[in-house]
Amino acid sequence: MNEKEKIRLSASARLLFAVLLAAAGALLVGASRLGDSMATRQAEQARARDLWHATVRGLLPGRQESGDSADRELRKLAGSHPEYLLQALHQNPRPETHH
Amino acid sequence: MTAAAYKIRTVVILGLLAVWSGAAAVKLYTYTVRDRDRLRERARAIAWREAVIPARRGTIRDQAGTVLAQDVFRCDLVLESLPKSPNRTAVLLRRLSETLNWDADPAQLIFPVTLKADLSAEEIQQYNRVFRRFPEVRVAGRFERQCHPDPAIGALIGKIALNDRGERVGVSGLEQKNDLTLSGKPGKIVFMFDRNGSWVYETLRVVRQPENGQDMTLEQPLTELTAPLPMPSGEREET
Repeated sequence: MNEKEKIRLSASARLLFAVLLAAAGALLVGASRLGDSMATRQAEQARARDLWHATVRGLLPGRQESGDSADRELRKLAGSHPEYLLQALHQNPRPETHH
Repeated sequence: MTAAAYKIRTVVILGLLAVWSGAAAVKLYTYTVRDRDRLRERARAIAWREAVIPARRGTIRDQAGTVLAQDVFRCDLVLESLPKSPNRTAVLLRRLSETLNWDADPAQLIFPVTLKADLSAEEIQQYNRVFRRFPEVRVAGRFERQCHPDPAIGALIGKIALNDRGERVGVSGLEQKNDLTLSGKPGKIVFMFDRNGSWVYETLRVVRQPENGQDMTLEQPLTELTAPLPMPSGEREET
């Protein structure tokens, strides 16, 4: 292998390395954006769930108001599955107008 | 195959591909740019729903804090209709029979049918899971007004009834007189249906929280209220 070929090979290797580096960089940026978007989505979901809990707890009688075992069980259910109670309580569902 | 024939075939294939990609590009433009807003609105109308969440009515107490009237939350299991598909109907009826031991002639049913009243928390959870894919079977919640058993107190407290919009309003006694205070304001939720019409819980959002009605404490003790006369001269509201 003469000097000229060595230089050409070295240039190709450098180009390949640069392309690989750029691809890895793009992948990292993409993964980071995906991660951010998932984290935002999860945080939004967690906020929504907190609001479900608050809404359902507000509708059930508190501990001081009712020591009834059925109400106690309902309060437990409101903690674990508030969506079931919101679904049970909803009235007049209609196509959404504003979101 | 001659070189000329080969060339013609290549040109034809490339031409077809060009036409196809052109048509795809036009469709893509139509759906994503030109008709975007209109299609989004249509999709929203199909999949998204908004619904009202009722507020809890305020509690009425006597001077000593004894509860005279209060809202209690109750749930029933209700069959609202039968699925349109005969296969799904057969599956649903079999599931109802297995879960609730409930058998009925579908032709004789008058909807809505209450399958089981006053569900426990455990049953609410169980039936939500069992009938998850059947929106026709619904755990329907309601607030029930529980009044003091004494008829004199019952007459003083009065009655509530549903108005045209399905809201509970006081129609007699203290319930009517203090309706604005006791009523509260309903909340609003939005959610999305899947293709079976079942709720997609991940999409559920509370847009407006219900504001419960205010509690009310009367100025008289229970013993005075049960006496036939006199009627209470006034009541004060809790803040």
